[in-house]
Amino acid sequence: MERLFNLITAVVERLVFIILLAMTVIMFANVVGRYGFGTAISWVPEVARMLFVWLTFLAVILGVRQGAHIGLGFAVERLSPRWRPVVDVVATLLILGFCAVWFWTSLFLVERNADMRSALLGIPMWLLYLATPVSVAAIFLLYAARLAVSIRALRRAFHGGRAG
Amino acid sequence: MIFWFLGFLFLFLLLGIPVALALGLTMLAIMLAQTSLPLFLIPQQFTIGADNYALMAIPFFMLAGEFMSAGGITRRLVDFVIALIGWVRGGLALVNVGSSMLMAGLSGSSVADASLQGSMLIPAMKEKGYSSEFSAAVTAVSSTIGVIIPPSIPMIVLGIVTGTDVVMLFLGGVLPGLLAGVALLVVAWAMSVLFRYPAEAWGGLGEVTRTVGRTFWALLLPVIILGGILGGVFTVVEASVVAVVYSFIIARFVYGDMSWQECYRCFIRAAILSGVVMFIVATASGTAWILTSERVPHELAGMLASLTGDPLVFLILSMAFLLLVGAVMDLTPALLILGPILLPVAASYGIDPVHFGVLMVINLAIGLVTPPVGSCLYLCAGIAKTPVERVVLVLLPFLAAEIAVLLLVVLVPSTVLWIPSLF
Repeated sequence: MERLFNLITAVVERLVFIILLAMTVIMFANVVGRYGFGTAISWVPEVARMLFVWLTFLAVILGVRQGAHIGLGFAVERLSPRWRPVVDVVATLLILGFCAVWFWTSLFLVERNADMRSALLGIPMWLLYLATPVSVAAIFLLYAARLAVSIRALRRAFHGGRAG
Repeated sequence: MIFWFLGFLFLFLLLGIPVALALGLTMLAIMLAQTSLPLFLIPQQFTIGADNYALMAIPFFMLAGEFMSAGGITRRLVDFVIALIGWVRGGLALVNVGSSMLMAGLSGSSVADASLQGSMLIPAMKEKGYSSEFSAAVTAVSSTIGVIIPPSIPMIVLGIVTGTDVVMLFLGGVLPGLLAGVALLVVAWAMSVLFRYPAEAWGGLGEVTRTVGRTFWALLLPVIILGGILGGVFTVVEASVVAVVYSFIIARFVYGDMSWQECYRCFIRAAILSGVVMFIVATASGTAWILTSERVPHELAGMLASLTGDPLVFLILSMAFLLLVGAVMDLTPALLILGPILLPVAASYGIDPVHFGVLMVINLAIGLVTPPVGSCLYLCAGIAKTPVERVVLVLLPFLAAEIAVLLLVVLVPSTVLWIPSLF
């Protein structure tokens, strides 16, 4: 499992780099075009926005992997070692449940937008909506692995004396 | 409805669920319990929230900030401020505040400022005989100015989720940010006199001009960004992308401090930082949409109107409430959750949205250094290797100064509204 996650992280990192670089290049070209030559490149905002949505949802995966997302840890951190795993399991299950709903509804959205196209370049809109199911699927996997860890901690907390 | 919303959200947050996912879960819970809306509206609203041209300034400002620290731009700016005001008693403490004000014009994020300044100035201050607690306190508190003086990422997200003009918020933040900076300078100076902290050697005007020479290209950056945005030359997004390219060229080619490998890491770090903020923006705009369509701000305004009709009483009550919220929640999530609810209510009292928005940012920025949740405070205490409780003690005079500035801005709306009225 860890190897799969390392692979996902490596691929997503490269994608994120390329996307942010591409956004910077086309947006800067547009600024130069607007002030240097008096002509903005009309398709730049459209493409940049689509890249930006992908950047956000891919970077969210890396954030989950690194535990970078902000939360209110102070309450959980003060729990006793016995109750901490219980709360962790409940929280992770809630997150997994939400991700499942989010995944299916976002797939539905991809399907719903199958025939829609963007205003200027005619880019299919499902490409935009595809960013969420891809991201949520990876987030689901990461939290599923975390659930396994919390369940093991839970077992240890309640059967600490016995082996296993 | 408002109680359902806050109840669910607080429950999920207490379980230790990250803010963005807690917001998503709250939206799902409310939709299932209170409405019969189709669930595909959840991902749709999230995507709409993230798909916003103006928000592209967030990854760009983050990336420019990464280049500035990797390329030694920040270090040179601090050297310049040392040459300029280091010779006063408590020199390094004042430099800390002063360079925060200067950096505030660049990075737009307080936590980034705190970690940068902290890693440079806290060890230097300890070496010169400043106490660890004082070094951590002054670094933490001065970094909060970063979000008040433009460009400010919290103001960008607040402007966008509430439909307030971002440039007006930026302009509105200038004077309160300077006031807060001066107030902190005065407190830092007074405490340095009290504790007999040292001054740096005065290198003469020659030293000042030499550092200006060395920092010239770095100093030009705030001029380009702020001048460009406030002078109406660039939009905020354009300014942010120009900042990226400019700081990249300085960091890579002019100063040459940044390797290609570091450059790649800058991109990844900036993307993750932006992803963390944008994830909350996306989910918060989902909940904001459902709260608005269920007329929650309207409901709340009605409830409050029956309590008091006086705008000043409302302002003071909401400021007290926000200080409490800021103590337990980070700036950006609190702003994103409460902005769309409170701004319309404030408007119903006849309070200018720019005034109220700037007040929210100043207020919640104080929360960045108050326990139990204060990211800048913990960061700086960690760098100084000293217990948070002891830093808080030294922090109290600084907090008093910030709250005094907040009160002044509450009572005198023109501190915010005067500069925007000039444009």
